[in-house]
Amino acid sequence: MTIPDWLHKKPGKRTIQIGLILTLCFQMAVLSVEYLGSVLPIWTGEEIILKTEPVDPRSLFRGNFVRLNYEINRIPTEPHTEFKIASVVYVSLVESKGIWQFDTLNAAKPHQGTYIRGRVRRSDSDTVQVEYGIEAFFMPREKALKVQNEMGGQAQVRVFVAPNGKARAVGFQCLGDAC
Amino acid sequence: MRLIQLFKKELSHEARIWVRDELVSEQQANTILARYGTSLSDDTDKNSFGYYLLMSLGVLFIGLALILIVSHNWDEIPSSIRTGSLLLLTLVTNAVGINLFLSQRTRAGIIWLLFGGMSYGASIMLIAQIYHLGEHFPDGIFWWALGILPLVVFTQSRLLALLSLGLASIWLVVESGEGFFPTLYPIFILVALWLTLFHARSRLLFLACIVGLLVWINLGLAWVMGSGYHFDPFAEQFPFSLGLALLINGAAWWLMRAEKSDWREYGLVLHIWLLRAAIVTLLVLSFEGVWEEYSSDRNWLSVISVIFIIVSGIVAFRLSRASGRYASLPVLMLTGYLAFSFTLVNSFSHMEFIAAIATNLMLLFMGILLIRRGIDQSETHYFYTGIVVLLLTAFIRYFDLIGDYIGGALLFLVAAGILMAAAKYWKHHVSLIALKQGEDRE
Repeated sequence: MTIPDWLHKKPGKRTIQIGLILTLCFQMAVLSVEYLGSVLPIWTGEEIILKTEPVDPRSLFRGNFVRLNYEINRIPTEPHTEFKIASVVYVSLVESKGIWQFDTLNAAKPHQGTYIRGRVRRSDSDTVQVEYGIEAFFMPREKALKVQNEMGGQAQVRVFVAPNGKARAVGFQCLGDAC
Repeated sequence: MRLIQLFKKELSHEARIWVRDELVSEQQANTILARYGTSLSDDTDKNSFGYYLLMSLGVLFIGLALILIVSHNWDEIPSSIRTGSLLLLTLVTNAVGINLFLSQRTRAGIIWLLFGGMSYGASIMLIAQIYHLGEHFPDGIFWWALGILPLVVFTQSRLLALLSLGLASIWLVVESGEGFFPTLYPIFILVALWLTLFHARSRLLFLACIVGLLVWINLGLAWVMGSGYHFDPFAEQFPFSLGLALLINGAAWWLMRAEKSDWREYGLVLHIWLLRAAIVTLLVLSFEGVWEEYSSDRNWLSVISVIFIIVSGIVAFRLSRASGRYASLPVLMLTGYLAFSFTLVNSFSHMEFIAAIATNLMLLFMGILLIRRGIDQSETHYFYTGIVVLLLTAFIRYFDLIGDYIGGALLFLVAAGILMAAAKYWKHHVSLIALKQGEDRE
C-alpha cells in the first residue's frame, strides 16, 4: 500500500510561520466575535424587563452563576405542534404593567413589535421549551445565594433585545442587596 | 519478537552498559537495537524530557489556576479591563510561543503555546461570564479545542494534540450530555491520528483516538435511531460494538506487519488492550443474568447486528491471516461464538443458559490458546494471561453456578476434559516435532 506524500511531508518553515500567525488570528477572531456578539445587543437593543425564577448551580468552566428560569422559557403551543430541537424561533412580547410577557410564537422573524430570538430545547405535545441565551447570570457565590434567598420566585431581570432578536441580560431589577 | 516501549528503554540502557564494558562495539549495539526500532541514543535526552514534562504540567496548573481566578468573578474590576487583559494575555503568550518556535527553540515555544492555549480558553470562558452568556455552553469548549487544532498541525506537538483532543473529548461528553450530537468530533480524531501515524509517536494519543472514535460511532448510532432529534440507545449497539472491536483487532494485526516500527508498536499496544477488553467482556458475558438483561427480539436491527459481526469477522480474518494462526484463529472463534450466541438469544426464548455456556467454553479456548501462544512464541505475557483467564473462569463459575450443583459440576468436568485433551494434543504435537527434527538431522 502506498501512502500519499503529503501525509508524510513536514510543512516548510514559511508555511509554519504563516499557519501559526493565522491560528493566532483565528483565536483572536473567535474571541472578538464572542465579545461583539455579547455587547451588540446592549449597544443597539431595546431594554425590557422579564419575570424569572433564580436557582444557583456552578459551572466547572465559568464559575458561579444563577440559573434563570423565565416565564417565557415554557411556551404553550397548539396540541401536537412539532418543533425541531435546536431550531430558531422568535417570541413576540407585549408589555403589561412594566413586565414583558409572551404574546405569540413565530418560526420566522416578525416584521414589527418587540420580539426575542431563541432556540427550541424541548418540544412536548402542548408546550415548547425555548432558551434565549440569557438563562445564566454570573456573580460571586455569596451574592448568587443572596439573590436566590431574597428574590425567591419573584425576580425581574433587565434584558436588552437587539433588532435581530438577540438578547443579553444585564442585571436584576433592584431588590435588596442583590442588584 | 516485539517489545513494548518500556522494555525498549531498558534494552537501550543495557546496550549502553555493554558498549561501556566493551562487550560489543557501538555499531553492533546499534545494529541489535535497530531490530527493535530503537537506538543507543533513544533515551539519552531523558533529563531534558523530564524538564519538559514538569514544565508542561506546571503550565497546565497555571492554566487551571487562571480559569479559577477568572471564575471568582471580579465584580470590582470593570468588564472592559478584565476582557482586555485576557485578550492581551492570549495575544502575548501565543506571540512569544510562535517566536520561540520559529527561532528553533521548539520545546520552549510549545510550552508558551500551551500557556497561550490555556489563556485563549480562559478568555472564552471569561467573556461568557462577564456578559452572562447562557447560550449552549459546550460551544465554548468546542471553539477552545478548535483554536488549538491548527497549532497541532503546524507544530506537530504531542502535548498540544493531547490538549486539543482532551478538550474535544470533554466537548463530546458535555455536548451529548446536553442532548446534541457532536458531529465534528472526528476532525480532532483525524488530526491526532495523522500526527501519531506520520509524525510523532504517541501510544496514548493513538489509543485515545481509537477509544474516542468508538464512543463517537456509538453515539452516532443512538442519534440515528432517534431520527437525528435525540439519542435513542438500543440493545443491538452492543453486538455492533463487538463487531467493531473485531475489525479493529484485524487492523491491529495488519499494523503489526507494517514496515514502520511505530505502526508495529501501535498494532501491538492495540492488540494487547483489545485482548484485555475481550477477556473482561467474555467474563461479564459468562453470567447467565447478563444475557437475560440483553433484551432484544428478532428484528431487522438484531439481524443486521449479527450480519455486521460476521462481515467484520471476515474482514478481520483477511487482515490477520498473514500473521499466522494465533492471529486468525481467535478471530474465527470469536466471530463464530458471537454470531451463534446473539442469533440464539435474539431468535429463541430462554436461550440465555446456552449463550452463557458457550461463553464459558469460549473463555476456556481463549485460555488454552493464550497459554500455547505464550509457550510457542516465548512470550510470558500471553502465557500468564491464559492462566489468569482459566483461573478466573473457574473461580467465577465456582461461586456463580450455571444451573444447579450438578450442572456446575458437569461444566467443570467438560472444562477438565477440554484442558486434558488440549494437553494430550500438545504432547502429541511436541513428540511429532521432535520426531521430525530427528529425521531432519539424520
